[in-house]
Amino acid sequence: MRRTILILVILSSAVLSCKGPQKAVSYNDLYSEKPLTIYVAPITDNAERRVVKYPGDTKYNNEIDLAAKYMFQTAQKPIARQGYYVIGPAASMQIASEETRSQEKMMIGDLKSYKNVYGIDAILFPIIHKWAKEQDEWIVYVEYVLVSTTSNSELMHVWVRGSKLVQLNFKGEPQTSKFDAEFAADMELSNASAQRCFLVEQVNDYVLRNLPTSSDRRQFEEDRYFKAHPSYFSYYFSEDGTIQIEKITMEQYEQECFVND
Amino acid sequence: MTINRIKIGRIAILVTLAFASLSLSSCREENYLANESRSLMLYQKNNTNGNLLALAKSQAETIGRAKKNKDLHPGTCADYAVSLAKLGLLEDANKWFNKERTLYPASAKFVDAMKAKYVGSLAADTVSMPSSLKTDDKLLASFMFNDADESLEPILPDVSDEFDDDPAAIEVAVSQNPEMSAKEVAALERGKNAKTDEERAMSAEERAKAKKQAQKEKEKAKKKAQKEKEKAKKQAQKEKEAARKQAQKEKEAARKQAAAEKAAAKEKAAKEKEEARAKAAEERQRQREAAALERERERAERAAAKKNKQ
Repeated sequence: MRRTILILVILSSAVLSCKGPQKAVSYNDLYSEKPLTIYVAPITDNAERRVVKYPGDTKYNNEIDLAAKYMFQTAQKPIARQGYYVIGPAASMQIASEETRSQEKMMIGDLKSYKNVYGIDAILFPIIHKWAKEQDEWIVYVEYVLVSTTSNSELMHVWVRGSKLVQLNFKGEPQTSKFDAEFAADMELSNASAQRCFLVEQVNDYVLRNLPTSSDRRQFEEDRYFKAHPSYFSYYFSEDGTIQIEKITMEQYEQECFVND
Repeated sequence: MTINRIKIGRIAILVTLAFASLSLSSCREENYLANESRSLMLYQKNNTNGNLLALAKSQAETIGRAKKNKDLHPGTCADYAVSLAKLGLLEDANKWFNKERTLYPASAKFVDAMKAKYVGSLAADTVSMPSSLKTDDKLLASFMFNDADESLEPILPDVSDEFDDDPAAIEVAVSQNPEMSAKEVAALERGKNAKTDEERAMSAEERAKAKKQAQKEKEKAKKKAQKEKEKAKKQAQKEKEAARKQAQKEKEAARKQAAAEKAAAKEKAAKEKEEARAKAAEERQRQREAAALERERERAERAAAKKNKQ
């Protein structure tokens, strides 16, 4: 009997240590609205560009431009894996070219026309706020907002501080790590661009595959009591390829992203 | 009674184990890295130059690969159809739109909207399906001169930037300039010929030899430069490593010294504390003895006073 109690105590403590917000709470509106078709709006890139004085400045600007484009192209796959119908990047660009409003205005405006014309149920707005560097870490501050075109309400809103350990050589250039060396070669990218693209893809994937399974699949609502991501969290991709997730406060995120230089 | 208790205990263990394994699997962090083709990035690169043709080709390749792996993502066929429509292949585009709709019924409204925009009157055909992918270079090249629809965007890749820094291209452009007079062209030719007089005197074999020699020398110089570069790099790395080791040693020594100083200070403080404690104890003892003496003295005085009264 004692042994049973002991096992119960150990297991309940293990379960409690994993406790976090449940999907049923975080994605309540999404479960009730049951969106099926998702359109990924072009990335809102608010990251500051360098004033071009030295060749390094152009290089940096190109790197973050490329990362933003890559982020847009890799946002579709993780959502599609959850069973949603996601409009492809080329067709999305066509739809976006017809929109006259800015992304910010769209987010707070009426989106019902998307439902009426294209049959889109929800629009995902990915936003890059800032790129930063802290010792050996490259950091990107991103925000994801999923807005319903039926009710214009937010179905998901997440702020992420994504970071990756980037070892520099004696020239101050990033060294190739075993995870993105192949990726850089495949994409014919410079190592620095590859590091940034790799990071945004990882963050995209981690955030978006947490969406509940679509109502089109028989597993719909089976994940109601699974763990959902907190609203503010940091994502760290370490040197050995492990991921460390840490919940952060709104104040900490805003201080680092919008206040600190 | 005891058998029942054992049974209940076992069931409890099994139930808790099952529950725990379920809940732990739900909160496990999986390190996932997408292994799918990265061809989308190349599309983007090409797309920036308006290279719609390359985009369509790579989309077709992606579909071909996805078909093999049985992993066709939603939106892929519609994307390909949009590119084909822009290339002027409206019939094929319509077929691929139909394919998208058949594969993903959720896309019906979106596909209809895209069809209305790109395919026009062909949109009514919702049955015909594509038979093959247009991956062949020649086949695609033939569409580059498709002028059936004037409203189409330019299909030819924009190569104007490529000529900017290329001297050969500039030379060609100059020599083909119709505004140049015949005299100017002749002068240009003469200039070119004057440069190659020595070469002309040499026999073809000699020229080939000289060329080979020059090439060899160039390669040698290149190798030498590369070796030197590598050597310098290694040297710099060595120096950096040595500096790092030195700095580490110094840091270590400083840390040790600081630790020793800290330990000595700690010992000293402990000693002082001990001494103070012993002193205080001694003082307390002395006070206690003095108080006892005082009490004894008072007692003796009181006894003496009593005796005197008697």
